Amino acid sequence: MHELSIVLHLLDAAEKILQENEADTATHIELDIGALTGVEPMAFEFAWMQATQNTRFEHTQLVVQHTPGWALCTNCGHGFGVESAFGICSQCGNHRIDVVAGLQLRIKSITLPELSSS
Amino acid sequence: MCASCGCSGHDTHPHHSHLSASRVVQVEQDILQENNLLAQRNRGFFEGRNILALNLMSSPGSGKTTLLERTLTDMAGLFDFSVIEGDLQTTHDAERIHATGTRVTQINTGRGCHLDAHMVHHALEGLKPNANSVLFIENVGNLVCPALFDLGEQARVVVMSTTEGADKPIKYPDMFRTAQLCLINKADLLPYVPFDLASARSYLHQVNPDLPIIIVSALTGDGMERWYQWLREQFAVVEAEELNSDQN
Repeated sequence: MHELSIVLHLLDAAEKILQENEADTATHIELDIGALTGVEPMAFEFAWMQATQNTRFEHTQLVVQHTPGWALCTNCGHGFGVESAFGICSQCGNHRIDVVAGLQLRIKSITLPELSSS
Repeated sequence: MCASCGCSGHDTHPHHSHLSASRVVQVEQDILQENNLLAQRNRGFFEGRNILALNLMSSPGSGKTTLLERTLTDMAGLFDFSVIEGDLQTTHDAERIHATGTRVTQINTGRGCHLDAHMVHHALEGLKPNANSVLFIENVGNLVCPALFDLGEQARVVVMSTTEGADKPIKYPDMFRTAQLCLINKADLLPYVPFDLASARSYLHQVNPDLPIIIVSALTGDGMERWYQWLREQFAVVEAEELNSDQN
Protein backbone atom coordinates (compact mmCIF):
# COMPACT_ATOMS: atom_id res chain seq x y z
CA MET A 1 0.00 0.00 0.00
CA HIS A 2 2.84 2.43 0.34
CA GLU A 3 3.31 2.15 -3.43
CA LEU A 4 -0.09 3.79 -3.91
CA SER A 5 0.85 6.65 -1.55
CA ILE A 6 4.00 7.25 -3.53
CA VAL A 7 2.13 7.15 -6.83
CA LEU A 8 -0.40 9.70 -5.54
CA HIS A 9 2.39 12.05 -4.46
CA LEU A 10 4.10 11.51 -7.79
CA LEU A 11 0.91 12.47 -9.63
CA ASP A 12 0.57 15.68 -7.59
CA ALA A 13 4.17 16.62 -8.35
CA ALA A 14 3.77 15.75 -12.06
CA GLU A 15 0.56 17.79 -12.25
CA LYS A 16 2.45 20.84 -10.98
CA ILE A 17 5.25 20.34 -13.48
CA LEU A 18 2.72 20.10 -16.33
CA GLN A 19 1.11 23.34 -15.17
CA GLU A 20 4.46 25.11 -15.01
CA ASN A 21 5.20 23.98 -18.55
CA GLU A 22 1.69 24.58 -19.86
CA ALA A 23 1.35 21.00 -21.00
CA ASP A 24 -1.75 18.78 -20.94
CA THR A 25 -0.01 15.47 -20.51
CA ALA A 26 3.36 13.78 -20.42
CA THR A 27 4.58 11.04 -22.72
CA HIS A 28 7.18 9.69 -20.28
CA ILE A 29 8.06 10.10 -16.63
CA GLU A 30 11.51 8.96 -15.65
CA LEU A 31 11.99 7.92 -12.03
CA ASP A 32 14.85 6.79 -9.85
CA ILE A 33 13.53 4.43 -7.18
CA GLY A 34 16.27 3.16 -4.93
CA ALA A 35 16.44 -0.58 -4.39
CA LEU A 36 16.31 -0.09 -0.58
CA THR A 37 13.06 1.88 -0.52
CA GLY A 38 11.03 -1.30 -0.26
CA VAL A 39 8.97 -0.27 -3.27
CA GLU A 40 7.81 -3.39 -5.12
CA PRO A 41 8.03 -2.75 -8.87
CA MET A 42 4.93 -4.86 -9.63
CA ALA A 43 2.84 -3.19 -6.92
CA PHE A 44 4.09 0.21 -8.04
CA GLU A 45 3.12 -0.45 -11.64
CA PHE A 46 -0.30 -1.72 -10.56
CA ALA A 47 -0.86 1.35 -8.35
CA TRP A 48 0.21 3.59 -11.24
CA MET A 49 -2.25 1.93 -13.64
CA GLN A 50 -5.11 2.20 -11.15
CA ALA A 51 -4.37 5.78 -10.16
CA THR A 52 -3.98 7.09 -13.70
CA GLN A 53 -7.11 5.52 -15.18
CA ASN A 54 -9.22 8.18 -16.88
CA THR A 55 -6.69 10.90 -16.06
CA ARG A 56 -4.34 12.91 -18.21
CA PHE A 57 -1.59 10.44 -17.32
CA GLU A 58 -3.45 7.38 -18.59
CA HIS A 59 -1.11 6.96 -21.56
CA THR A 60 2.06 8.22 -19.88
CA GLN A 61 4.85 5.69 -19.82
CA LEU A 62 6.86 5.21 -16.66
CA VAL A 63 10.58 4.64 -17.07
CA VAL A 64 11.92 3.42 -13.76
CA GLN A 65 15.55 3.11 -12.85
CA HIS A 66 16.32 1.09 -9.72
CA THR A 67 19.55 2.34 -8.18
CA PRO A 68 21.21 -0.39 -6.11
CA GLY A 69 22.07 0.19 -2.46
CA TRP A 70 25.51 1.47 -1.56
CA ALA A 71 26.88 2.21 1.90
CA LEU A 72 29.99 3.67 3.45
CA CYS A 73 31.38 2.37 6.73
CA THR A 74 31.48 5.12 9.37
CA ASN A 75 34.51 3.44 10.92
CA CYS A 76 36.87 2.53 8.08
CA GLY A 77 35.30 4.38 5.16
CA HIS A 78 34.97 1.21 3.08
CA GLY A 79 32.28 1.43 0.37
CA PHE A 80 30.16 -1.64 -0.38
CA GLY A 81 26.89 -2.77 -1.93
CA VAL A 82 23.97 -3.40 0.45
CA GLU A 83 20.61 -5.08 -0.01
CA SER A 84 18.97 -3.47 2.98
CA ALA A 85 19.37 -0.12 4.72
CA PHE A 86 21.21 -1.74 7.60
CA GLY A 87 24.04 -4.20 7.75
CA ILE A 88 27.65 -4.64 8.70
CA CYS A 89 30.75 -3.36 6.97
CA SER A 90 32.13 -6.11 4.75
CA GLN A 91 35.67 -5.03 5.68
CA CYS A 92 35.74 -4.27 9.42
CA GLY A 93 32.41 -5.65 10.70
CA ASN A 94 31.19 -2.29 12.05
CA HIS A 95 27.38 -1.94 12.46
CA ARG A 96 27.28 1.81 11.89
CA ILE A 97 26.97 2.25 8.18
CA ASP A 98 25.93 5.27 6.17
CA VAL A 99 23.65 4.40 3.25
CA VAL A 100 24.55 6.79 0.44
CA ALA A 101 22.48 5.33 -2.41
CA GLY A 102 19.38 3.20 -2.77
CA LEU A 103 16.95 5.15 -0.58
CA GLN A 104 16.00 7.80 -3.11
CA LEU A 105 12.55 8.33 -4.60
CA ARG A 106 13.21 10.85 -7.35
CA ILE A 107 11.55 12.21 -10.43
CA LYS A 108 14.40 12.56 -12.89
CA SER A 109 12.64 13.96 -15.93
CA ILE A 110 9.28 14.40 -17.54
CA THR A 111 8.87 14.30 -21.30
CA LEU A 112 6.13 16.49 -22.67
CA PRO A 113 4.53 16.07 -26.07
CA GLU A 114 5.34 18.42 -28.91
CA LEU A 115 3.89 21.89 -28.49
CA SER A 116 0.92 22.18 -30.79
CA SER A 117 1.25 25.26 -32.98
CA SER A 118 -2.05 26.95 -33.45
CA MET B 1 22.33 11.42 -34.31
CA CYS B 2 21.19 11.74 -30.74
CA ALA B 3 23.19 14.40 -28.93
CA SER B 4 22.97 12.72 -25.55
CA CYS B 5 24.26 9.29 -26.43
CA GLY B 6 25.26 9.22 -30.07
CA CYS B 7 22.75 6.55 -31.10
CA SER B 8 21.00 6.62 -34.45
CA GLY B 9 17.97 8.36 -33.02
CA HIS B 10 15.44 5.68 -33.82
CA ASP B 11 15.73 3.69 -30.64
CA THR B 12 14.05 4.18 -27.31
CA HIS B 13 16.37 4.00 -24.34
CA PRO B 14 15.63 3.69 -20.68
CA HIS B 15 17.19 7.12 -20.15
CA HIS B 16 15.50 9.05 -22.91
CA SER B 17 13.36 8.62 -25.96
CA HIS B 18 13.40 10.05 -29.42
CA LEU B 19 9.88 11.26 -29.89
CA SER B 20 9.85 13.97 -32.46
CA ALA B 21 10.22 17.42 -30.97
CA SER B 22 9.09 16.33 -27.56
CA ARG B 23 10.33 18.44 -24.68
CA VAL B 24 12.22 16.81 -21.85
CA VAL B 25 11.97 18.67 -18.56
CA GLN B 26 14.81 17.75 -16.21
CA VAL B 27 13.08 17.61 -12.84
CA GLU B 28 15.48 15.95 -10.39
CA GLN B 29 13.23 16.34 -7.38
CA ASP B 30 12.14 14.06 -4.59
CA ILE B 31 8.73 12.50 -5.24
CA LEU B 32 7.80 13.51 -1.68
CA GLN B 33 9.24 17.03 -2.00
CA GLU B 34 5.90 18.73 -1.39
CA ASN B 35 5.45 16.76 1.83
CA ASN B 36 9.02 17.49 2.93
CA LEU B 37 8.58 21.24 2.39
CA LEU B 38 5.33 21.29 4.39
CA ALA B 39 6.99 19.23 7.12
CA GLN B 40 9.68 21.91 7.37
CA ARG B 41 6.97 24.56 7.78
CA ASN B 42 5.44 22.53 10.61
CA ARG B 43 8.88 22.12 12.15
CA GLY B 44 9.43 25.89 11.99
CA PHE B 45 6.07 26.42 13.71
CA PHE B 46 7.05 24.00 16.50
CA GLU B 47 10.48 25.57 16.94
CA GLY B 48 9.07 29.08 16.98
CA ARG B 49 6.57 28.19 19.68
CA ASN B 50 8.88 25.96 21.66
CA ILE B 51 6.70 22.90 21.15
CA LEU B 52 8.06 19.38 21.50
CA ALA B 53 6.27 17.44 18.73
CA LEU B 54 6.55 13.65 18.83
CA ASN B 55 5.42 11.30 16.08
CA LEU B 56 4.17 8.08 17.69
CA MET B 57 4.18 5.09 15.36
CA SER B 58 3.55 1.37 15.61
CA SER B 59 1.56 -1.49 14.15
CA PRO B 60 -2.15 -1.57 15.04
CA GLY B 61 -2.86 -2.76 18.56
CA SER B 62 0.52 -2.14 20.18
CA GLY B 63 -1.12 0.09 22.79
CA LYS B 64 -0.27 3.61 21.59
CA THR B 65 -3.54 5.12 22.79
CA THR B 66 -3.37 3.36 26.17
CA LEU B 67 0.21 4.59 26.52
CA LEU B 68 -0.94 8.13 25.78
CA GLU B 69 -3.89 7.92 28.19
CA ARG B 70 -1.60 6.87 31.02
CA THR B 71 1.07 9.44 30.13
CA LEU B 72 -1.45 12.29 29.92
CA THR B 73 -2.98 11.29 33.26
CA ASP B 74 0.31 10.72 35.12
CA MET B 75 1.95 13.87 33.76
CA ALA B 76 -1.12 16.12 33.99
CA GLY B 77 -0.09 19.50 35.36
CA LEU B 78 3.60 18.92 34.63
CA PHE B 79 3.34 19.63 30.91
CA ASP B 80 0.82 21.36 28.72
CA PHE B 81 -0.20 18.56 26.33
CA SER B 82 -2.18 18.35 23.11
CA VAL B 83 -2.76 15.38 20.82
CA ILE B 84 -3.40 14.77 17.14
CA GLU B 85 -5.01 11.37 16.55
CA GLY B 86 -4.65 9.69 13.17
CA ASP B 87 -6.98 6.84 12.24
CA LEU B 88 -8.62 5.59 9.09
CA GLN B 89 -12.08 5.80 10.65
CA THR B 90 -13.89 6.74 13.88
CA THR B 91 -13.19 9.24 16.64
CA HIS B 92 -12.84 6.53 19.32
CA ASP B 93 -9.21 7.34 20.07
CA ALA B 94 -9.85 11.08 20.24
CA GLU B 95 -12.71 10.43 22.69
CA ARG B 96 -10.39 8.39 24.91
CA ILE B 97 -7.82 11.18 24.89
CA HIS B 98 -10.51 13.82 25.45
CA ALA B 99 -11.62 11.92 28.54
CA THR B 100 -8.20 12.61 30.12
CA GLY B 101 -8.92 16.34 29.83
CA THR B 102 -6.37 16.89 27.05
CA ARG B 103 -6.99 18.97 23.95
CA VAL B 104 -7.20 16.64 20.98
CA THR B 105 -8.09 16.67 17.32
CA GLN B 106 -8.86 13.64 15.19
CA ILE B 107 -7.70 13.17 11.60
CA ASN B 108 -9.56 10.48 9.68
CA THR B 109 -7.49 9.51 6.70
CA GLY B 110 -10.28 7.50 5.07
CA ARG B 111 -8.34 4.95 3.10
CA GLY B 112 -4.99 6.65 3.67
CA CYS B 113 -2.54 4.45 5.52
CA HIS B 114 -0.45 7.24 7.10
CA LEU B 115 -0.51 10.86 8.19
CA ASP B 116 1.29 13.40 6.04
CA ALA B 117 2.61 16.89 6.72
CA HIS B 118 -0.37 18.49 4.98
CA MET B 119 -2.91 16.79 7.27
CA VAL B 120 -0.89 17.77 10.34
CA HIS B 121 -0.63 21.34 9.06
CA HIS B 122 -4.43 21.60 8.91
CA ALA B 123 -4.89 19.86 12.24
CA LEU B 124 -2.56 22.44 13.83
CA GLU B 125 -4.73 25.28 12.53
CA GLY B 126 -7.67 23.90 14.49
CA LEU B 127 -5.81 22.58 17.53
CA LYS B 128 -3.63 25.66 18.05
CA PRO B 129 -1.21 24.06 20.52
CA ASN B 130 0.09 26.46 23.16
CA ALA B 131 3.66 27.67 23.24
CA ASN B 132 5.94 25.67 25.57
CA SER B 133 3.88 22.53 25.23
CA VAL B 134 4.19 18.90 24.19
CA LEU B 135 2.30 17.65 21.13
CA PHE B 136 1.79 13.94 20.54
CA ILE B 137 0.93 12.95 16.99
CA GLU B 138 -0.44 9.41 17.07
CA ASN B 139 0.06 8.10 13.55
CA VAL B 140 -2.08 5.50 11.79
CA GLY B 141 -1.20 2.01 13.02
CA ASN B 142 1.13 0.80 10.28
CA LEU B 143 4.85 0.01 10.29
CA VAL B 144 5.45 0.73 6.60
CA CYS B 145 4.00 3.92 5.13
CA PRO B 146 4.28 6.36 8.07
CA ALA B 147 8.06 5.90 8.05
CA LEU B 148 8.30 7.64 4.67
CA PHE B 149 6.45 10.78 5.66
CA ASP B 150 8.10 13.53 7.64
CA LEU B 151 5.47 15.44 9.63
CA GLY B 152 7.85 18.05 11.02
CA GLU B 153 8.25 16.25 14.36
CA GLN B 154 11.35 16.65 16.54
CA ALA B 155 11.49 12.95 17.29
CA ARG B 156 9.94 9.67 16.25
CA VAL B 157 8.88 7.20 18.89
CA VAL B 158 8.16 3.68 17.69
CA VAL B 159 6.12 1.39 19.92
CA MET B 160 6.55 -2.38 19.79
CA SER B 161 4.67 -4.78 22.02
CA THR B 162 5.40 -8.16 23.53
CA THR B 163 2.49 -9.77 21.66
CA GLU B 164 4.26 -9.10 18.35
CA GLY B 165 7.22 -10.92 16.87
CA ALA B 166 10.59 -9.82 18.22
CA ASP B 167 11.85 -9.61 14.64
CA LYS B 168 9.61 -6.65 13.69
CA PRO B 169 12.65 -4.32 13.50
CA ILE B 170 14.31 -6.29 10.71
CA LYS B 171 11.00 -6.88 8.90
CA TYR B 172 10.18 -3.16 8.90
CA PRO B 173 13.66 -1.63 9.04
CA ASP B 174 12.71 1.85 7.79
CA MET B 175 10.40 2.45 10.72
CA PHE B 176 12.98 1.41 13.30
CA ARG B 177 15.98 2.92 11.48
CA THR B 178 14.44 6.40 11.51
CA ALA B 179 13.18 6.33 15.13
CA GLN B 180 14.79 8.16 18.06
CA LEU B 181 13.22 5.98 20.73
CA CYS B 182 11.67 2.52 20.90
CA LEU B 183 9.16 1.66 23.61
CA ILE B 184 8.44 -2.03 24.13
CA ASN B 185 4.95 -2.09 25.59
CA LYS B 186 2.86 -4.79 27.34
CA ALA B 187 5.75 -5.84 29.56
CA ASP B 188 3.15 -7.23 32.00
CA LEU B 189 2.52 -10.04 29.48
CA LEU B 190 6.17 -11.13 29.30
CA PRO B 191 5.63 -14.18 31.58
CA TYR B 192 2.85 -15.45 29.30
CA VAL B 193 4.10 -14.83 25.77
CA PRO B 194 7.09 -16.25 23.88
CA PHE B 195 8.49 -12.75 23.20
CA ASP B 196 12.28 -12.80 23.64
CA LEU B 197 13.53 -9.44 24.90
CA ALA B 198 17.17 -10.19 24.19
CA SER B 199 16.52 -10.96 20.52
CA ALA B 200 14.26 -7.90 20.21
CA ARG B 201 17.10 -5.73 21.52
CA SER B 202 19.58 -7.40 19.19
CA TYR B 203 17.32 -6.89 16.12
CA LEU B 204 16.67 -3.28 17.10
CA HIS B 205 20.37 -2.53 17.40
CA GLN B 206 21.16 -4.26 14.11
CA VAL B 207 18.90 -1.77 12.38
CA ASN B 208 19.61 1.24 14.58
CA PRO B 209 22.73 0.75 16.75
CA ASP B 210 22.13 3.78 19.01
CA LEU B 211 18.37 3.47 19.50
CA PRO B 212 17.37 3.84 23.16
CA ILE B 213 14.91 1.14 24.28
CA ILE B 214 12.50 1.47 27.20
CA ILE B 215 10.40 -1.47 28.40
CA VAL B 216 7.02 -0.39 29.72
CA SER B 217 3.57 -1.58 30.62
CA ALA B 218 1.07 1.17 29.89
CA LEU B 219 -1.50 -0.98 31.69
CA THR B 220 0.27 -1.42 35.05
CA GLY B 221 2.54 1.61 34.80
CA ASP B 222 5.76 -0.40 35.10
CA GLY B 223 8.73 1.32 33.45
CA MET B 224 6.72 4.41 32.61
CA GLU B 225 8.94 6.62 34.79
CA ARG B 226 11.84 6.05 32.39
CA TRP B 227 9.66 7.17 29.47
CA TYR B 228 8.65 10.28 31.43
CA GLN B 229 12.32 10.96 32.10
CA TRP B 230 13.01 10.72 28.35
CA LEU B 231 10.16 13.21 27.74
CA ARG B 232 11.62 15.64 30.29
CA GLU B 233 15.03 15.38 28.64
CA GLN B 234 13.61 16.00 25.16
CA PHE B 235 11.63 18.97 26.41
CA ALA B 236 14.75 20.36 28.06
CA VAL B 237 16.51 20.20 24.68
CA VAL B 238 13.69 22.17 23.04
CA GLU B 239 13.83 24.76 25.83
CA ALA B 240 17.62 25.04 25.61
CA GLU B 241 17.41 25.63 21.88
CA GLU B 242 15.00 28.47 22.48
CA LEU B 243 17.30 30.00 25.11
CA ASN B 244 20.18 29.81 22.65
CA SER B 245 18.20 31.46 19.89
CA ASP B 246 17.07 34.20 22.33
CA GLN B 247 20.66 34.95 23.23
CA ASN B 248 21.81 35.13 19.62
